[in-house]
Order: sequence, then structure tokens, then C-alpha cells
Amino acid sequence: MAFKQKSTLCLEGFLRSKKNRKVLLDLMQACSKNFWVESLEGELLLGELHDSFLSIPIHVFSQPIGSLCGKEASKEIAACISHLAEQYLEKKLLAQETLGKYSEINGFYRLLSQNIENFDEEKIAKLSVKELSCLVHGNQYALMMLNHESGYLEVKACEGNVCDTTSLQMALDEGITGASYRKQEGLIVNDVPNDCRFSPQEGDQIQAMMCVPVKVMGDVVGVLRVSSGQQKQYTSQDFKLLKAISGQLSISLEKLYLHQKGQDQEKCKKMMQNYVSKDLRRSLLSSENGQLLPTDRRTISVLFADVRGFSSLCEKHDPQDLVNHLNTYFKHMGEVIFSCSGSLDKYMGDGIMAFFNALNHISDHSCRAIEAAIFMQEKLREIPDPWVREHFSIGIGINTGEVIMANIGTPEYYNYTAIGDEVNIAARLESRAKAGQILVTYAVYQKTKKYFDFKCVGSVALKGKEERVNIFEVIY
Amino acid sequence: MSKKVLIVDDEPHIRTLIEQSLDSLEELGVDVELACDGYQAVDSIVKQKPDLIILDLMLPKMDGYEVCKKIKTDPQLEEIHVILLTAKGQEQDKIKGKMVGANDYITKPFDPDPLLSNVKKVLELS
Repeated sequence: MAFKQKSTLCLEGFLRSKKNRKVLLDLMQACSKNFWVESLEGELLLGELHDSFLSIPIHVFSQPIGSLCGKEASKEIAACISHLAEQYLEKKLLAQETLGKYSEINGFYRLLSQNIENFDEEKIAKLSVKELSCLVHGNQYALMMLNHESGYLEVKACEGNVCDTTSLQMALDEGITGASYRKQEGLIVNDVPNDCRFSPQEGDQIQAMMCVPVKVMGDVVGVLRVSSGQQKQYTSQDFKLLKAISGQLSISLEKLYLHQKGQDQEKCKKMMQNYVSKDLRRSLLSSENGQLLPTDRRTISVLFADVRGFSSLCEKHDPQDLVNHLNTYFKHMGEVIFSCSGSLDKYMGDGIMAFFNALNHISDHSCRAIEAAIFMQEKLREIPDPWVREHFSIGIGINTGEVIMANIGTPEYYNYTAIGDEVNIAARLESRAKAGQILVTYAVYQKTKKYFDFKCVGSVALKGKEERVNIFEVIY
Repeated sequence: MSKKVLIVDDEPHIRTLIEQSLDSLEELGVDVELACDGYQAVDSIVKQKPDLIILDLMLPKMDGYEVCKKIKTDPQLEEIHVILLTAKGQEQDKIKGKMVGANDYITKPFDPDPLLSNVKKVLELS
């Protein structure tokens, strides 16, 4: 408990101090007076007994604490002793007050240092209630917190006999506790039995109680409560201590919840890494307030790649083995596309769809797309999986043109992808490309003829297109 | 024989506060003496041989480390329990305190309840 104060003084206590005894003995010596000092009960405390009928009371702030006796006793000496005793008591009370503050400071420091690295809600609650029990007088201490599932205030931590006599669960509109929660304000009640708000659920034989709401980020999450079975008059000083502990508790809980939110976000980010491409992930995370990515009309390059004869491979080989080989293939192809500043849109069975300049800004996206295609073909010949090297060969189609980047799907599931004729053309080119071939449209050829070698394939009819399309093969 | 505690601090209000913390010990027959500098402390220790010393580090004339070292290197005094009391809380001060043989270390503003419990334990009082 915070340092106890004694606000009275008895003469025995005063004379127990060697300094005080010496002062009085010196005074007796100096005055050559025959007097002695007695307690209120008539016990000799200082000096020698003689025959006398004189007795003058010694007071401390109008309270008698003993008497000065003897023939030579005088009012002046009694007044002097009274004054010394009052000075002594004042000094004592001041020291006690200071020591009380030291207790509080140390209590808060302890709570702060224990909670600073604490990310456990139960421990934070227990430490706070424990510290409260050390600083504020009472029999029962409890932290009641809202359980969102049950809709009740439930005991999170307690000290004293609260768990024997108090219900572990209270409705939000019940008792003085409920009143503090609903009104979001602290309450001091020094006459609990006559307070109509009191509920027996709050405990037996309670005479006085204080409650303060515990707020986290502006919302009331619980109530911190202390109660006493004695007719204790809780003061504003006690209330300040309760509020201070509640304040520290709020800060600790807020830190904890933010930490948990941060951890959840990290977990989410990590999981996204497994399912969402790096560029899309970056765009999503940078979008303001979790808004959907915007619909955007832009000129991009689209690359489609597909494994030739994959269907017959599926017929002849074990599906699990195929998955493993396919993943090896995708891993290496994906690395090539990223290294050329491309973004992976999706895997479609054994097919790959990639963009250039869709989720980032690249001025030479047509070149980058061709670069990626060439590296993919070369990489396939060097892939560490011998089975893939032997059985996989790919045809690639590339087109450059204006598309719409948009969220396709429903709020439950969106795919942010490119839509438009130019995308379809790239897909059609890929389906025409033989194993090892890279086919591009005239638009791509125009932009990149300075940097790569091409062979004109001719103008072909593509499915879904009325006009024939000029296509070129990249020579590498 | 009654137990003796010596409080050494150059600041009178700190001496008063520590004395007040140990107020209840006087009822148990414990004598509390005060000293305000290192020389006075050593003098009192040699004459009175207290059971426990609460010793401030920043003392005039002779600092707390020196006083502690003197006690702990004297076969007649080395058994006296020494609690160092200081405003500093750095690790090197604690290490230095241990090196001169101090038994315990508390920092200001000290917590009065644990101090009293500790003193009672050292003096073997209930």
C-alpha cells in the first residue's frame, strides 16, 4: 500500500527521538527547574517524580498529548514543549506526504517499465490492477472489459476478494460500473448502500467505490474499479491515482492493439506475396484508403507464352509431377519477366500472360517485351530441371497497343487486368507461334526494328479479326 | 541488545525522509542515528558499530564509495550491511558499488515500503 500516514502524535513518540529528549533535558538543566513530563495516562516519560500537585497539559494543535508536572512547572515551558511537538509533527507529516509521492512515482515507473515491452493483454491487465492495489486503499480491485461476443463487461483481472463476491460478468447498463461505462466518465461513490445505481453483482458489503472508464483510441473498452468494505471516503487524490493508472493502461492497450494490427498487416503482406504479383502488390499497398485501383486507358505491351503440346504431356505423365515441373518452369519464366520490368498478370494452365508498362512506367516497353521473350526462350534451354528442358518448348506472341486496365469481377473477387482488342491479338499470335518462335505485330516491329532482327511472316487472318494482321518473327 | 541503523546523507530533508520511512522501527527498539558527511559517518561507525548503514554516494569530505570501502576492508566492521543510496542509476555505479563491497543499492526517489521491508529483513525483525 502507498506509504501510510499517521496524522497524530503521542508524547511517547515525540520523546522517543533522542534529539527531542536532549532538548527537553537541556531545558530542564538550563532552567534548574524541578519538573517532569507525564503521558496522558499519567506514566512518567521524562525527568524525576517529586511531590507536586501542579499539572499543565501539553497540546499538539489543541489535542492534549500529555502533561508537564511539578512545583516549578509553568505555562511557558508547557507552551514551549507544545510548540516543539507541533513542529515535530509538522515535519513528520510533510515527510510522510513526500514519501507517499515517492511511492506513487515508483509505482507508475514500475508499471510503465513492465508494460513497455509487454504485448500480452492478460499480463498488462494484471500488472495494472496489481499496481492499483498498491497505490489506492480498498478491498477489491477489478478491470472489467467489454467482450464483443457476449456483449457483457467481464473481469479481465482482479485483486482482493472480488472474485469471491463479485460476478465475473456484468451487463453494460448494470451497476455503478455500467453507469461509468455508459457515461464514459469516472465516478466516486462514498455511500454505496444508498446509491440506487449499485448492483449486488458488484460485490458484497461495499461501502465506497470508484470507477473510471478505460479508453483506447477514443472508444471505451472497459472500466477500472476499486471498492472498499469500510466507510472509506475516497478523495480526489485517490481518484487522480485511479485515473492515472487507467491512463497508463489505455496507452499500453493502444500500443498492444497497434502492434497486433501491424502483425496482421505483415501476415497479410506475406500471404499476398504468394498469391499476388510484386507490381500489383505494390500498387495495391500504395492505393489510398484501400481504394480499388483506377480504371486506366494506356498503351502497353502484352506478352503471351504457352507450352507447346502440353495437353498430350498431361495425358502421359503424372499430374503431381507435372505440377512440380510447371512450377519450376513458371519460377524461371517469372524471374525473366520481372528482370525486364514486366508484370505477371496471370498463369492460365501452362500459359503465361505478362504486361509491360501496365503497373509501372517504362517508355521502351515494346523492347522490354521482346527482350523478355528472347531471355525466356534461352532460359528454357538452361533450366535446371532436365525433364523441363527435354519436354517443354514455348511459343510467344507480343503486341503493343492501347488497352483498358480495369478491375474485372465482383467485390468478392477482382482481377486487375488489361482488356481490349490489342490483348486478344497478342493471344492469337501466341497460338500461331511454333515451338521456339516469337511472333510480334507490326506495331511492335515499328518500335523495335532498330534493336532486333526480324523476318516478315506476312499478313495473316486472326480469329475474331476482320482485317488481316501483319506479323513478324523475332530472329534471335 | 538493540539494533542500530546509521543514515548518512548530506541533505537534511533526505535524512528526514529515510528516518521517517523507518519510523516504525523505533517502536521495535531500533536506534536510528544520522550523519551528514563521510568523516562523521566513519566516526559514528567506529564508535557505534551499527547493524545497517544507509549510505548516500555523493557525500562531502569522503564519498560513499570511500566510506564503504573503509568499512568492508576493516575486519571489525566488514559484517555491517551497507545499502548504497544514490540519485544516479547507471549500471557502472552499481558495479562500482559491488566492487567496494556494498550489499545493496537503491536509487532516489526511493520506494519507502520496499526500503522498510529490506531493512527489517536485514535486521531480522518481524
